[in-house]
This record gives sequence, structure tokens and C-alpha cells, in this order.
Amino acid sequence: MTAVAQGTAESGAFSNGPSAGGGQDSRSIKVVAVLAWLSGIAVVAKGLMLLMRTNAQPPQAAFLVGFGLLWSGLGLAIFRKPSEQSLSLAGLLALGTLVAALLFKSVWGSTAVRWTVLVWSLVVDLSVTAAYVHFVQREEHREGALLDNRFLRIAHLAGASQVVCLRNTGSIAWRELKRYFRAPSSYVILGLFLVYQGLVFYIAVRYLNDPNAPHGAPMKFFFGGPFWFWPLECFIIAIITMDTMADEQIRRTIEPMLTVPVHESELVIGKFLGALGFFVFLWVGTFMYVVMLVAHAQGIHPASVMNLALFGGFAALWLFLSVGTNRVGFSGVATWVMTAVAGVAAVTYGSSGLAWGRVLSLLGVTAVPVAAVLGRELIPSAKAGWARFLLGAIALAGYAVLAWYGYDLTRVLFHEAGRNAPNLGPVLSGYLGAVGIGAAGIALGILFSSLTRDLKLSCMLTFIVLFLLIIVKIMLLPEVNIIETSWVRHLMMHLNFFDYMYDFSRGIVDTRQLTLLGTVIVLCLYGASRAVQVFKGR
Amino acid sequence: MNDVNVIEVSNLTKWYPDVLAVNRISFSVKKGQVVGFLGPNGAGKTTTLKMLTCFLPPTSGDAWVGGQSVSQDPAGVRRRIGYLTEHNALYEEMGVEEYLRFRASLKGVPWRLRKQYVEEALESCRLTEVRHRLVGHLSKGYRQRVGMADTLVHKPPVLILDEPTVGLDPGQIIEVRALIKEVAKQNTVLLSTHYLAEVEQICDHVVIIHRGTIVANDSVETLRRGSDGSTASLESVFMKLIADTDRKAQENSDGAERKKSDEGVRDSAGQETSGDEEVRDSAGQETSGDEEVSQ
Repeated sequence: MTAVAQGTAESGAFSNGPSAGGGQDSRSIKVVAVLAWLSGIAVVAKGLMLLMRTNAQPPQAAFLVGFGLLWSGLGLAIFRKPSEQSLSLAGLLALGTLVAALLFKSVWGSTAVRWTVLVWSLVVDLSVTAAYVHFVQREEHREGALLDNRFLRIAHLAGASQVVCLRNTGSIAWRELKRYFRAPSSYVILGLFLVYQGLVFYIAVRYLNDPNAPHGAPMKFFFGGPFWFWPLECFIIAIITMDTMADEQIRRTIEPMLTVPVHESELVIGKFLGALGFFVFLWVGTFMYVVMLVAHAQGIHPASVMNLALFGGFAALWLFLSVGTNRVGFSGVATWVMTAVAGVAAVTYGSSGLAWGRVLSLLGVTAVPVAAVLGRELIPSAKAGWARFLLGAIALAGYAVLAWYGYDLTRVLFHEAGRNAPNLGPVLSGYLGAVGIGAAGIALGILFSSLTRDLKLSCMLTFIVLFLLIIVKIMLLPEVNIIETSWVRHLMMHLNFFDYMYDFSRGIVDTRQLTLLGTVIVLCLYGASRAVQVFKGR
Repeated sequence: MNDVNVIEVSNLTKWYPDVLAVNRISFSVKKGQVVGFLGPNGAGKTTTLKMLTCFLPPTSGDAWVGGQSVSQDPAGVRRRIGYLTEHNALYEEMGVEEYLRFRASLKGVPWRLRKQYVEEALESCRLTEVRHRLVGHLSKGYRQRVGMADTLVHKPPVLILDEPTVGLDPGQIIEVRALIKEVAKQNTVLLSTHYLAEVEQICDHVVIIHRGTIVANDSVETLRRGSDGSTASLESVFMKLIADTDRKAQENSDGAERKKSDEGVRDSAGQETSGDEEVRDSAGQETSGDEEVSQ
């Protein structure tokens, strides 16, 4: 109340532009602006010099000139009136330059120029972000809320200025994740996803069992090589992301969201993290196949591994029932009975002599706190105590039924013997690839979702654009060879997601590829937050 | 009562692509006042509130809420207001208490105080018995209360309520009005509504907006008393103001039609709108004159 009492009696004082106050801060911002402007001019000059050479390379020169013009324009804009937007754009551009300097070797004319650009963009990025921090701090100093966190400051200095507003991102991401888990359709999606992946895994194993089959590990075939990985990956991304932003527009919840102190970028990043969380959750189920392969290499019948799967499956069933029916008691008892029946069946018909007791005791112990959290967070309509009790009961029941057999999962997983045991390195890099490309796809999907409130349209756009990034592989084949311009070919080769996954599935983690995926994510989310700013009122 | 302006609107204007929704309006709300914001549908009420809450940027002009400028410091303004939106859109898959906690965290309520603030909001809106239910399973009256609890949860000094009683049954309307009255004891409230009875019950000051301009800005009593000293109902005063504005608009549009044939079409958006805009311009000037007289 007291803050308000200052009142608007002297409201004229508030109408001053942000550039007017605080001499020292604006001076440092102006230094940055001049720096950006000068270096932009220098890049333009370099581009023009390239153009005038006898062996002129128009694409390179055009790139440099356009790039330099952008920089100098931005520098002028900041010099004239520093704003959150221009500064954060400059920060992003500097980051983009840094990435470009890292990725593309040939564009810069010589190694010396490339290194200069590299160092220069790093310096500009840091100084722009520093200026931005000053700027935002001054704007917010009355509240002192935004950047009093040291971690945020470091995160901010480290990169894209847009990422500064991370305060609310966590709660938005968590809410978004819960949104997925509360929609019954998510469980159907999860189930169908696992059916498809299970089929792919089955095909891979059967294929490799053929005597004439090429040599290779099943998980490599699962992730990389053949085409079967892609339709589902692209489709599932389109499905998960199509309503992320559009839903807020349709349900009009965008208005209460953006009339509290939440920045558009926080909303977009939160949505991104939530969708990514669900996407990762989809993939977690497939780790079962790795466990089965390891178990197989140890001479354990894969059927017993299914016990584990059943356990997880029934916990999911319980959640589904309780969310779907909103009757916690009923679904809890029903699932408890089903778990017990399934447990007995698994023990009876699974191969004997295999003991999963320790595994399950491990799981049982971890399940109780997990269940407590889930009970509170996922099922708000429940009487929380009951939910926690029931979830804990299910975990313990699973443990009790299956504790007849004991085997140490950790020993299974990390035992070094076993000729056919999958090498965990490539498997993990395969997952990294699936999730990394998934993250880039999700960012793309969020961008499209923020551009249109038509779900079908954004779904289709996401799918087509993602699929194009894979079809590129075919376009570049010597037999097809659609693209003849050499620099376009070069660019396309860098944007070929198919080869990315091929590398990842073989345990090759290329930082250039990771950087490019990161850049796609940053640019898409940036575009999405701008789109939200523009379209929110429509 | 403090004499400080908590909301100060100065020449606020909003152009949608080819419609002038709000035309250079100015008014102010003093601390502790409960101001009714009246007008027929499409008058520009919601657009004005959206600008005051920094959801839409104004085309020109500015407003200050709690001393912060809407165009310069949106974050500062947003921190000081509680805003109940026109459609009261809520996340339906969340529980009531959970939703309020989520909103409290977004509104910057410190972690330690969050539980207490949410508890107080639940109690003041009488939501304690439904705290664990999903928002999507609640009746409209309860949802409206959840919306009210959300506007109150961070204890903002300024409340901006956009048609809080629309679509409720009579019992619920009475409840929500009682709630607003209760809240108004401690806060400054700007209340947009269609119900004149609501204004008479709750508000001590009225701003009437029509065709994007302010046609009256006065206390309820003064407005009802009229120039000749007789007391009229707020309803008849309202209808008369609206009719007057419409008549002026009609006259001016006739004038504009004639003028346009000399000057040519000003706006590519079409003759209708073009005429309309000029009407609004002149109506704005007229009423700003009125305003000075009444003050």
C-alpha cells in the first residue's frame, strides 16, 4: 500500500523514457552500442572487399554484408534508445554469430577472420548481456526481484538474454507437465508409443537373428539406421506440441497468464520444458529393452524382466484410473487387486530361478516418497493422505509379491561380462539424440503453435517441416541430387537430422550437431515468445 | 481517505487494425475508491481494462497504476494489480488450492508466505470446502469465486474486475457482490459491469464510456441528481447519456458524410468506419467539455 501512496501526483516523472535516467548505466550501454555499430560496419566492409575480389564469392559476401548491416542497425537502435528488446536481440545475435563462427569454417574467408569474429562475438555477447543486466536491474530496482539471484545473473551472462526471466519458468513447466499427465489421452499416447517402439525393437531383434543379417547391435538399429525411427518421432512431436500455445489462446487463459508479472519468454520456455519432460517420459519406457538385452546377455529369461514392466505399467494404470474416474478409492483398490493378480501370474509363468526381490525392494523403497509426491501433485482432487497411502500400498504389494526371487539389478546392469551385452555408451548417445532432436522439434512445434490457434494447422506444419529435415537425406543422394547449388548443398548437409541420428545411434556425439540443435531451440523459442507478444490480443 | 490517484489515465487511445476502440480517454481513481466502469457492449470497457493491466499496449497516451506507467513498466504495474478477466479463464485440470498456489508463485508471493496467503484467499472467498476439487468440476458461481480468490491472493492494492457477476444466478450475484463490498473496504477497485443496480450498491463513483469516449465521470449521487435538482434513477441517466451520445454521433456522421464528399475518403478501411471515426473524434471533444463542467 505504501508503494502506491507515492501515487501519480507527480506522474509526469514516470513518463520519462528508460534511457533518460541513470547516467552511468546508459553510458556503458552506449559504449556497447557504438562497439556493435563499428564492428557491423567492419563486417560490411569485409563483405564488400570480398565482392570486389577477382574470384568473388557472392553468397559469402552477401552473408557478411547482411550480417554487418544487421549489427550496425541494431547498434544504432540501442544507441538511440536502449530497450529490453533491442538489447536482448543484440545478445542473441552475438550468440548466433558465435555459433556461426564455430560451425561454418568456409564463410569467413580466412582462419584469422574466423577467430576474430569468434572472439569479437564472445566479447560483444558478454558486454551486451552485462548492459542488459544493468538495464533490467535499473528498471526493476524498486522491487529488486528480478536479478537478485546470483545464479540467474550467471545464467544470463552466459548466453541468450531472453533466458534471463527464469523466475517463473519452473512453476510454469511443472504445471505444463502436470497438464499432460492429467489428460487421459496422454496415457493412450504413451501406450501407443510403446506399442510402436516395441514392434520396432522386436523387428530389429528378429532381423539381426537372421544368419544373413549384417553385423550390428539391436539398439543401433532401434535408433538410427532404418527409416522406422522417424515417422513416430516426428508425429509424436507434432501431437504433443500442437496445442501448447494455441490452447492458451483458445481457452483465453493467456490473458490471466500475461497480466501477472510473467514475461512471454518465461511462458514459452516453461511450455517447452513441460513438453520436453513429457517427451522424455515417453522414451523412459523404452529403456526396458536395454534392460532386457542386458538380462539376456546374462542368461536371464527376458520374461522375468516383464515383471518389472508390469509393475510400472500397473502404477501407470492406477494413475490413469484415478485421473480418469476421479474416484481414488475405487481405482486404488482395483489396481491393487490387478497388481496382485499380475504379480502372481508373472511369478508363476515367468522363468523360475530368477529373483527380483532386491530390485523390487529398491523400487519399493523409492516408490514410497515418489508416490507421496505424486499423490499430492498429480491428484489434487484426492484426499492427499489416502492417495499417498494407496500409492505406497501398491509399491509395497508389488514388493511383497515379487520378493520371492532375488536378483541385484545393479549387478545385472553394470556387470562387465557377457559377450552380447549392449555397450551402454552408444545406447545413451542414442537416447541423447532422440531427446535432442525431440527438443529441437518441440521448439519448432511451439513456434508454430504460437503462430496459429488452429491445432490441425500447427500439427501439420510441425510434421512437414520436421520431415523435410529428414527427407533432405534423400534429396542429397547422388541418384536424386535435387540441389545443385554448392553452398545450399553445404547448408543442407548441416541441417540433415537423419545423419545426426545415424551418428548418435553409433555413439558419436558431435558438438557441432548439438550446437545446431541448441540454436534451433533458442531461435524457435525466441520467435515463439515474439509471436505471443504480437498475437496475444487477437 | 487518502487523496492520491491510484489509477491515472491520460489520453489513452487504442486502435485495432481498422477500428478505433478507445479514443483519448482520461480519468482517475483515488485511493480507496470503488469506481464503476459502465458502458454498453462494445463501448471499449474491456479494451481499456486490458490496457490498464498491460495485456495490450496502448496506441497512444499512457496510464499509471499505483505510480507505474503502463507503457514503461508493465512488470511493475502487473505486480500491483489483481485482475479478474472478462471470461474468467481458469486452468480446468488443476485443483482449486493448487491453482491458487500456482498463481501466487507467479505473482511473486514469497515461498514462506504462500501457504498463508492462499489460505486467506480461500477463506475470504469461502472456498475451503472445495479446495481439493478440480476447477473444471466446479459450478460457475464457484469458478467466479476462484477467479476472485486469484485476484486477491497476492494482496494487491488495486483490483480491476471485468464483469464479475455476468452469467451468475441471482443468489450467486448477491454473494459475489457481497464479496466485492468486503474487499472494497481495504482496496481500490475498478469494476466494469452492465448492471446498474450493482453500481448503485457497491460503487461511490461512476465512469461511463460509450463509443470509445467517456460520457460521464462523477459520483453516483451527483449523476442522479441532474442539473435541475430532481433525482432520477441511474438507469434513466445512463440511457439518456447513451442516447445523447448516439444522437450527436448521428448528427456528426451526417456532417461528416457531407464533408467527406468534399475531401474524399480519408480511410481505406471503408466509408462506414471512416465516418464513424470522425464522429468519435468530435464526440470525444464534446464530452471532455461536459466533464469539465461537471467537475
